Amino acid sequence: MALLRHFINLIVMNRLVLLLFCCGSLASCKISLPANARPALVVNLNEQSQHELKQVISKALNERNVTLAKQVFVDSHRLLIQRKTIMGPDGLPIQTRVDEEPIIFELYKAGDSCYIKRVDNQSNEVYLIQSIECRPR
Amino acid sequence: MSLNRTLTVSVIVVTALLSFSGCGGGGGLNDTPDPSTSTSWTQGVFADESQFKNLCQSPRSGTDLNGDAFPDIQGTTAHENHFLRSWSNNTYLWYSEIPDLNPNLYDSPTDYFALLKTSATTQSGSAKDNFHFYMDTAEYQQLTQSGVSVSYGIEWELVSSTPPRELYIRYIEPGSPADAIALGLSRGAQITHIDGVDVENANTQAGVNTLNAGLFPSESGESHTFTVLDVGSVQPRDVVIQASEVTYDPVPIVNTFASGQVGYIFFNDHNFVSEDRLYEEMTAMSEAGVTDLILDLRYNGGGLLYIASQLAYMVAGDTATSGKTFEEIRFNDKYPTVNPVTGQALQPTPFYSTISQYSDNYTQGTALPTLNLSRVFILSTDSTCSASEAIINGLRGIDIEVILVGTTTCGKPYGFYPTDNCGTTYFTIQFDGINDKGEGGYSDGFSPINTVATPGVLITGCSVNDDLTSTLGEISDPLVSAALSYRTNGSCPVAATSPKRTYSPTLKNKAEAEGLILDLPLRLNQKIYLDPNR
Repeated sequence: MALLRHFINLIVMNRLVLLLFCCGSLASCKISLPANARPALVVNLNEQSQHELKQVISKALNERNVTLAKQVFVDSHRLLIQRKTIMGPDGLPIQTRVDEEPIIFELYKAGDSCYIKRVDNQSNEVYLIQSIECRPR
Repeated sequence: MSLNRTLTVSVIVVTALLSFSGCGGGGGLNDTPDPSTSTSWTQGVFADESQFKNLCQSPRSGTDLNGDAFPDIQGTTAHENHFLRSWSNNTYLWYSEIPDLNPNLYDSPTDYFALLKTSATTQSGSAKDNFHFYMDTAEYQQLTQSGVSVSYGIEWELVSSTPPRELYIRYIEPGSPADAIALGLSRGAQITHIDGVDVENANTQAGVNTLNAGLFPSESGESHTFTVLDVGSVQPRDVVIQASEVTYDPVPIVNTFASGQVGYIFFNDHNFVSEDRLYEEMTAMSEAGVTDLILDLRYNGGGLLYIASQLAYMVAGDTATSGKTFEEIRFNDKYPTVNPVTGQALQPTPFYSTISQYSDNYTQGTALPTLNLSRVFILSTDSTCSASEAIINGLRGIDIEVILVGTTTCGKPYGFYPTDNCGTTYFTIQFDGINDKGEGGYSDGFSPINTVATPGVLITGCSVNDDLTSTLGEISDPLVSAALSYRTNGSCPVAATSPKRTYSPTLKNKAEAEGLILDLPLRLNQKIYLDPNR
């Protein structure tokens, strides 16, 4: 029992340490991905965790408005973001012959914590997501 | 051919996605515009556009969406007009057909921009350039998860954007809000009113705003009331639909016919997530040993060109595509070898034979499945556009027979690099695409060979109207049955008379002939589908 309590304390402390590195807001919490991080999927995505994911991703993209699926990271550990489709007056998409690269985030689990990492550019920024549960993919 | 090459070529477009200021030059330390730049006009003489870039009548303050200060500097409307004039002269595909109008005589850059295009017409009499737009840059920068949008899960079929309008449901995404059993909605249902406004006749801006707001919800949770006339019913009923974040399956319908010899794939969107879905379904088709394929692109408006290339490869196979060009883009004659926007050497897009780095489930470089077909049946309407047409053109370029069943495609072999200046993003045609044989320029679209009215490039096939009352991808679907019939006996069905709820190009042409459709609006936003004017 004592061992279990110690273990829980360690997990709590680890999260606390991570949070202390954060600079007030989640979006500014730029950290490194732990070496033991593994690709992960979200478990039990609820409104709160979806809201946090959207907020963090939006802030990571300088407050750009991003539409996310209700099941984001549930079936895939990768999130591909592209420009919203703009419809022309004929009802057809305007930008229809494109090869734009996506913005990509990936979900990882390390210990008891879940992280998203931006992987499409060189910044490789990592963000701790507090309100979600995740499991290895 | 692997995909890395193309993605290198598209680096500048990446910048366009990640950078608020977009592409098109300007903004660097060495080309900071000078507000004292002269705006005098000499006909036929064009200064470099960088001299005018970011000189704005109303400079934006603060930072852009990358966190960088806006590059805008106080200038004048004339500076903005001069930028548009020089940029168009430099990069517009048909720059020599633009009238050189004095930019100092126009007090609105967007009004001036509207004139910076060719007024030529195509063989059918349509405008040669139907794709000349602008929109607010902030709106253009909005992002979404690939394959996801805030909607009801309905694709609309609008017959005329001006009165008298007809509006139908042409497709409902499975599992979406509109697919709820309790709503009882189906393909082919007509919408007569939205939030109490008459769809057919609304001719005030307020009325049209209501219609647009209902058709294109902007927020998840938003509800609107639709008065619906179900297929076969004369009794309208009201249905409240609530929008949410809908995940669209880009390949929602797959089927086989003729004892499994003929595969059918309904492909609806060339987006990133479509790669894995196409891989899975084409693998299944390959393993099943189908000998013919019906590729349904009737509502596929285009998207990522590399997806189109991969799909064409999977249809044709390695031998037919090896060393061949899927599509090569051409800029105006000032840039025969170099992309004027990226500055990179022009390189053709090959037929990609492997999985890209964007796949979720498959390792980059995995070989794509192939059907090795010498012909393919493609189902089309006027919503079959751009990258979908590139599939048709690309396959024809390597002598794969395309049998087109349906109606004339939209006619968009063109592309552009949307370019921001002073908070407005401008779309002007800068390149077109040609196939391995150098064929392109299909401004009037591709048409089945027996098309009667205003055909585009005529190719083998059957002219058949899409019937919104039929079930997509079933034998009762007239496009599917015509393809199967042609496969069996080489002949096309007699064109049926159009039932009331069949979306009919004839009806659209009739409206155009009667002058019911005015010039299409130039300014884009998410809700500009309708126009109040007669």
